[in-house]
Amino acid sequence: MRVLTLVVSFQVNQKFTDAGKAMWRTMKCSDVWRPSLYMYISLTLGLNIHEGLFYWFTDSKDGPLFAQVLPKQIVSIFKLHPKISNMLREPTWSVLGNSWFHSLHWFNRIDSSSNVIPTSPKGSSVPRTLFVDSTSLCSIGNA
Amino acid sequence: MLDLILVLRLNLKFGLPDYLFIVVDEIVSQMIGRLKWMPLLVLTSKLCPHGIEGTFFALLMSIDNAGLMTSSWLGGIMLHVLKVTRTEFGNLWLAVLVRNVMRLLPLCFLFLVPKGDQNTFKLPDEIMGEDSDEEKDEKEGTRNLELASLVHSVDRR
Repeated sequence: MRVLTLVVSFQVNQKFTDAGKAMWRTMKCSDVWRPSLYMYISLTLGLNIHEGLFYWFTDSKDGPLFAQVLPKQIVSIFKLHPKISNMLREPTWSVLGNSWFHSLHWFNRIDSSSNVIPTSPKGSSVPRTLFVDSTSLCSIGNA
Repeated sequence: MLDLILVLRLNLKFGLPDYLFIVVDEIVSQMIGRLKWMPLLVLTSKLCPHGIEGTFFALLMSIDNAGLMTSSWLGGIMLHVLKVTRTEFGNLWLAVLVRNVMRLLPLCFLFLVPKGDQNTFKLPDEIMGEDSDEEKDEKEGTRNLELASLVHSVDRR
């Protein structure tokens, strides 16, 4: 038993080291680290001063003097919009009505569709995962 | 820039109420944010080499998140330096202006992004890990095996 654990942990370590090495090798390529650096810089330079604006919305005498909940409500409505568009994309949504049953239905459909695709669908796995993610978020929102 | 108009109260001069203005501002900024996000995601997915796509995508996403955290951090520092607090907003317009100018700065770093469009961009072969002959044989074998199982099941019927 102990030997087995040792062997398994050795294999895990080995795989972990391999993945780390492969990532490091990839990162050293100039075609990879330059876009990554650009992404980091472009996100960093979009300074986030929402907190200051929020206090200005609610507290400042010159400001609009909203109630504290209102800016958050406005923002949260627009956070919902991908979920709304997701619902619209599937016209059977309103017919079925039951979101829980519906998401189960989707999982089955996605599973079976992954068996059907013949070529190596490497790129499609990421959007599919994201889609499952947003579907589950949507059913949480409906519950 | 819509933020700046709101903070300087220019919208009231044009006769636009605050509620309407904030809703429009939020619509526009969310839409632009998502449009900006899309090419970055495409680039991220293009950068992933064969074999460790998932791990590498997660690494790139963690870089993105680190960038977002740094932006909040730097924004907080800027508000602190300009002495914008919970009760004092004298320099808020300056903070918004600096933020808007800083948002244009990534244009100076565009040389970091590889030339060409998303269909022509390709990682060098030594990273993409071309299949060796043995692996190819193995793959061929698996493919035949799959076909064999299909044929058997057809025969059984």
